[in-house]
Amino acid sequence: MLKVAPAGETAADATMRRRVRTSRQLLVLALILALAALLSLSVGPSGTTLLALPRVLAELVGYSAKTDGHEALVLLDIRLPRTLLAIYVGASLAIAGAMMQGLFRNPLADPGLIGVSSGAALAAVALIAFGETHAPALKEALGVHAVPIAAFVGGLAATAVLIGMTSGKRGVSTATLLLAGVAIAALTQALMGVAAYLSDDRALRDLTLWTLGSLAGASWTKVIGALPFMALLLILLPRLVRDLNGLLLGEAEAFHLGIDVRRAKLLIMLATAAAVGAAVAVAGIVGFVGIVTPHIVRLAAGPDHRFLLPASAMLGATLGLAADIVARMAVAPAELPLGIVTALIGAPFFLHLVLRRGVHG
Amino acid sequence: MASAPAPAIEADGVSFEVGGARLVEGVHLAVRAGQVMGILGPNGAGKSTFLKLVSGELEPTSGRILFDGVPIARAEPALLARRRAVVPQSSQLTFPFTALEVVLLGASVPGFGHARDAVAAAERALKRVGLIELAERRYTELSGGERQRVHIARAICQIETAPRRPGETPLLLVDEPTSNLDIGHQRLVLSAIREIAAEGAAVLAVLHDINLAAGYCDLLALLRDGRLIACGPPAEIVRNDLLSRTFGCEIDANTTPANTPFVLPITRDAVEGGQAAARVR
Repeated sequence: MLKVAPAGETAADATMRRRVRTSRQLLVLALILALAALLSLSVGPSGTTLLALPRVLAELVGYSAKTDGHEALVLLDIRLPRTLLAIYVGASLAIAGAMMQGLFRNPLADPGLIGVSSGAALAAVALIAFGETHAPALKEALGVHAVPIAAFVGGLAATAVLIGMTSGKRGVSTATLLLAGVAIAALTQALMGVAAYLSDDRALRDLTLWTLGSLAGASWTKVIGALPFMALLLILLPRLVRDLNGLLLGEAEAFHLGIDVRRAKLLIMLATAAAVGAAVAVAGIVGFVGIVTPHIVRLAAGPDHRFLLPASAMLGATLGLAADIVARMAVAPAELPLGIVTALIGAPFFLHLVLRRGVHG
Repeated sequence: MASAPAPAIEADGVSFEVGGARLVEGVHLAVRAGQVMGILGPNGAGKSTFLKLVSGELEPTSGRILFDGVPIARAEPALLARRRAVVPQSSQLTFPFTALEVVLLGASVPGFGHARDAVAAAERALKRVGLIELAERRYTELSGGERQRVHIARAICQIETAPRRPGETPLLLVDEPTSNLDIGHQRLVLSAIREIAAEGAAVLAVLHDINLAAGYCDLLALLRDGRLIACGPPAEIVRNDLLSRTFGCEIDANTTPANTPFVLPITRDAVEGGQAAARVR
């Protein structure tokens, strides 16, 4: 399909035109995200809607009207942190997916599928199951950040193993990536099984939630716990855009373009672990957001990470919110785990991509 | 009168060993600003390895690579990228960048100029390789030859936008730039490379085709088993004895009436046998 440029247009004009178009697209994505966030605040099995917000706010600033405190609890302590976490989980998983795909030069890399989420979950589970009894001082010292830090370290370890296994290869085949993911997932599941076997009932329930992925336990504690990792991700991302674009050409060519490949890979690894670690810490293993989102963005606007990363973040956040609303409402007053909703949407999509692309690509 | 400036690219006794195998052994070469040097040799002679040593991708086991008389050992990747651009033999790009976006990556080195200048430079580079009509086409939809030209344009764009300091010669390193091209585009690309040299760059090109190399290069270097067999102007290099020794087979060199050296890809026997067959018919 040949795009015909308007008569007399230079490449510079076309580039400017494309920039205007992409900033418009980002604006539209931001609006859709805002709408999804409002919807997430309005919808829930308790029946409280956003209409209660003015009353709740009035109560907060002291002009107490006749509210029963229930609405404030639902909006501010249940739905608001849950909405923020859904945004964070969706955005960071989508960004992590885009980064892994760039690093491995394979659009089928997803933190959930290639074992990064499993690594993060294993470390978090180990902390939940054994932290209290075996390292109480450490858990105490880390406070609300304990689980996110454990998940970050676990994600980092899994990413390092993956990079070590695939380093120096000319593009990593889907088969290699997925098999590595299967191996890492099998290992972590076995170890999580050991943790489950050894842990008490309360830890066991937490553990089950982890592996399915859920935002049911959303709280301000979790929002604050994950905050440093969101900050780390936001600091690292702008520095990675150029490196990721260059790495799409291959590591040798990235070096020719002046990219310090070792340093770039290290930073991408850190950013991925921060994104996945914090997402796993607050929601457990949520798959497929990282593969569906960047794919849609690339179809619409190409693989330039200057656009791909922010657009994936916003679209991923929107998908995270949408999936969580479904998780809350589909079988209300009970809940579906978020990871099951994303898998129901994402797995067929993934299958379609694999069939079209083939595992050797 | 000051002494002549140092060569733009100099290999000073460069050797490279990996796992006990000597891939490059004691190579001395020099390319000056404005010159195009072609590297010829059989498969596995160490041509691509030598190019990687010059680009800084590999570190020599012994010996030095110098740009304008300054050794490049342990130079930062960004610094190297300001000095030299590289066109690799093949690329791993499978993501759907447009041709223009790929060329623009050449201008994305830190410290390089502004976006507007970069787009203009990218556009000029695409024109030079005859691809401006395909600027907005997805790279993944291009043919092998078109992709190769996109990468040459990217390297040209990198050279054009690099903020070099006075006395720094732009360097272009190309590995088989014409392997996927038809004869018309081979000429187009080599002419573009000659233009870059005419504008002051030093060019080092690994080439397969002896005739193209003889026609477009100022200097030819013959490599065999990692060793330099000979180096000099085409008229001194395209000779039966040197070529036969380098390639390990009988090669019959000749010259055109305009004194350009050339070789035929078939043997003398085949030529004469063919003529005999034609006479019989």
